[in-house]
Amino acid sequence: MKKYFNLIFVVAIVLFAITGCGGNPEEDGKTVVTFWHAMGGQLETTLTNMIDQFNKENPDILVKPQCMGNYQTLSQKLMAASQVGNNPTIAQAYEAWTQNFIDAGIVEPIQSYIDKEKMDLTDFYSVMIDNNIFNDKIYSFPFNKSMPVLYVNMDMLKTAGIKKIPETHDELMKAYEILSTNKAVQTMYANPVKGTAFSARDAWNFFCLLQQNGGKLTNKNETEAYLNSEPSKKSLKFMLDTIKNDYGYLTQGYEHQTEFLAKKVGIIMSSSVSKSYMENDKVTFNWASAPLTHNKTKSAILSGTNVLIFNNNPKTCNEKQKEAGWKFIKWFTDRDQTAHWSIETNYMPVRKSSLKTEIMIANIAKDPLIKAALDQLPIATFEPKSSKWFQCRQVIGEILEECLTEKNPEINKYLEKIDTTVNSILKGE
Amino acid sequence: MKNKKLKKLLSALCYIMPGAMIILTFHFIPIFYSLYYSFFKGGLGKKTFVGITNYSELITDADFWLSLKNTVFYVIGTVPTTIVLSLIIALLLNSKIKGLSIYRTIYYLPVITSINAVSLVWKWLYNTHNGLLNSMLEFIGLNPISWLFDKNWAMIAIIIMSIWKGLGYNVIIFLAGLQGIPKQLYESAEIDGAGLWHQFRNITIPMISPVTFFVFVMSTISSFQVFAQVYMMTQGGPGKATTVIVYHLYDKAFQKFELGGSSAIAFVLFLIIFAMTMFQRKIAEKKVHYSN
Repeated sequence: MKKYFNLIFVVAIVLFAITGCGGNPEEDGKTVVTFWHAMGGQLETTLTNMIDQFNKENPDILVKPQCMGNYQTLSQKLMAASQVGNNPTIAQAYEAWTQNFIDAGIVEPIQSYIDKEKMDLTDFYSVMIDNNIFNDKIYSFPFNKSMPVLYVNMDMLKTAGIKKIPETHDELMKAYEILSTNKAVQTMYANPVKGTAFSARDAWNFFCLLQQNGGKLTNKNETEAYLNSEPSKKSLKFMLDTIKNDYGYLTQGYEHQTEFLAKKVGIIMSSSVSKSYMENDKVTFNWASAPLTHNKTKSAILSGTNVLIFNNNPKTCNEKQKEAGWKFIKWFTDRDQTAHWSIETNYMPVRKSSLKTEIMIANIAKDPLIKAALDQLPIATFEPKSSKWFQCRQVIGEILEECLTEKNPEINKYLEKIDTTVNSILKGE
Repeated sequence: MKNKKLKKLLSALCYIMPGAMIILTFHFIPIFYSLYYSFFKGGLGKKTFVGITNYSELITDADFWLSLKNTVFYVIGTVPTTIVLSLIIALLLNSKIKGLSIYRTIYYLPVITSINAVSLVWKWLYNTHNGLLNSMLEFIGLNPISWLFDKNWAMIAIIIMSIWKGLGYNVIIFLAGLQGIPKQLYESAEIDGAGLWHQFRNITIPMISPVTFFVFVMSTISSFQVFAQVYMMTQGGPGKATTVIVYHLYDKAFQKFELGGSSAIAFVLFLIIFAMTMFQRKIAEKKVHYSN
């Protein structure tokens, strides 16, 4: 008898472990919206506070955020959940993921809510909306979009005698050169100084340069890439010159920020959100931010994710829940909220009117470092959105890295390799 | 009588169930599910049965062959060096020297440290501009090497780090083997006039051959599955210089969303490792001397 008891005991424990304890008094009678996101650290605190406020303002709705830690995990979780129809109500997603989810037929188009409410979208920056249009329909909505800017160590520039922050590619290269060769700068700190550091893997740098050189990544339908062009060549040459002349060096991931903070490089190109990360680590010198440099065209490519509503999980995506999810998204992107979100996180506000809010004006006056990013909103663009392009940018990153780490690379050979590989991926299947 | 047997069986089941449940849920089901998946294409929601297409596509997939080549390079670079080095260290640690337990701890420390933490530390050591290794090279008058950003060096850098990381585990196993050799063998060899080398060659080597075989098989298997250090240190780069099979598989599944293709690679990797182990048992085990 005792042994049966053991058995029951073990079974009970296992079952308990598997199912967890169900039921939550908080949810009684409310429409629960589950929200999977990847905002960690300070970003999560801000997001959670805003969600709490929304929940307070809407007593019939309960938005339950769930942080997945980072985008990688979020992507894996979403993919696994989509397999078994276990999706949350809403989630952050990159364009390429959204495209995949749309192809699988599990996304509720936001267009249907906009049409139903005859919502006016003119206050939104058009780039923010266009970024969310798939197959001529708005499927997702802008959530956390960041803007690349230059971060500059002003102490170094001053010591080097560089009067103004570079505005063109030529001025930028010149500044890199002076920073890495000027005697006063080299003896300024314990370590030798270089102009810049960047990741070759992250094709974002290359794409921005290419557009600033007057080039285009693909045609409108994203079926053909123009990567073996004159602007493309100029961009790769710019990166190559930086490395070969030893005006800068390659790093991985976000390490260029660490190098900048350690006063090993004078100028980096990084996202507007990097500002908060760097401030967290303490900046021990005078610094400034500036719009990206240009050659022919002024251009800056947005990155970051959007938010979408799923429609395939009966437990989380019934009509009421989807509608509540949309209500939250609409609230989040409203003038005051998007301004608040932008001030707290350095992500871009999605509405033009938010720039005229009192809190925004006060913040720009208090913290001029954020201005450069906001100033670029009118010239902002986005990368192609298809899941094929997602593959392409990875391949491009790998080829760029191969090129930049080779001793004497032939630019034309690499451009051709990039162009043929990318076009075969875009045309494939 | 029968009732008693049943009771015995039930209580045995009780004891193995928690462990068995975990292995079943987290090992066996995923293994067979991934085998099942390898016959399908398309990831999210809908998938279509394509037979062995995922497998036949591997034959023409240049990236797969490159990753296989890189993995073999890694295995050849890691396994023999690990065996030789850990045997030498085990021999040293087996002698009577002062502070033995301190040395043992030092060699074992990397094994119990998280691979992610270790990778980050090594990334700093390998740093082209400020890394300790390059400072040392410069100090003795050599040119610095851009370890992780040179396609000829990146894999070697990962191999060096992996050997360091795995050494302690194999040292402990060799040490156990060495201590299991009866002392009389050495004593009688000494009386017969055998020198240290002959004792090592004719007593130590054959007596620890089961241990050597074990280390050989286990480190081959784990080397074929190398992933974490690549993920942390190079992300398969520069270019594709350190893209090993498991990294390629991960990349296919979680960056390119090709779940079927990636499952096929996983299964092929399983077959490779299985064949390797079988081969080792058939060929190498003949040289193994089991004393009882």
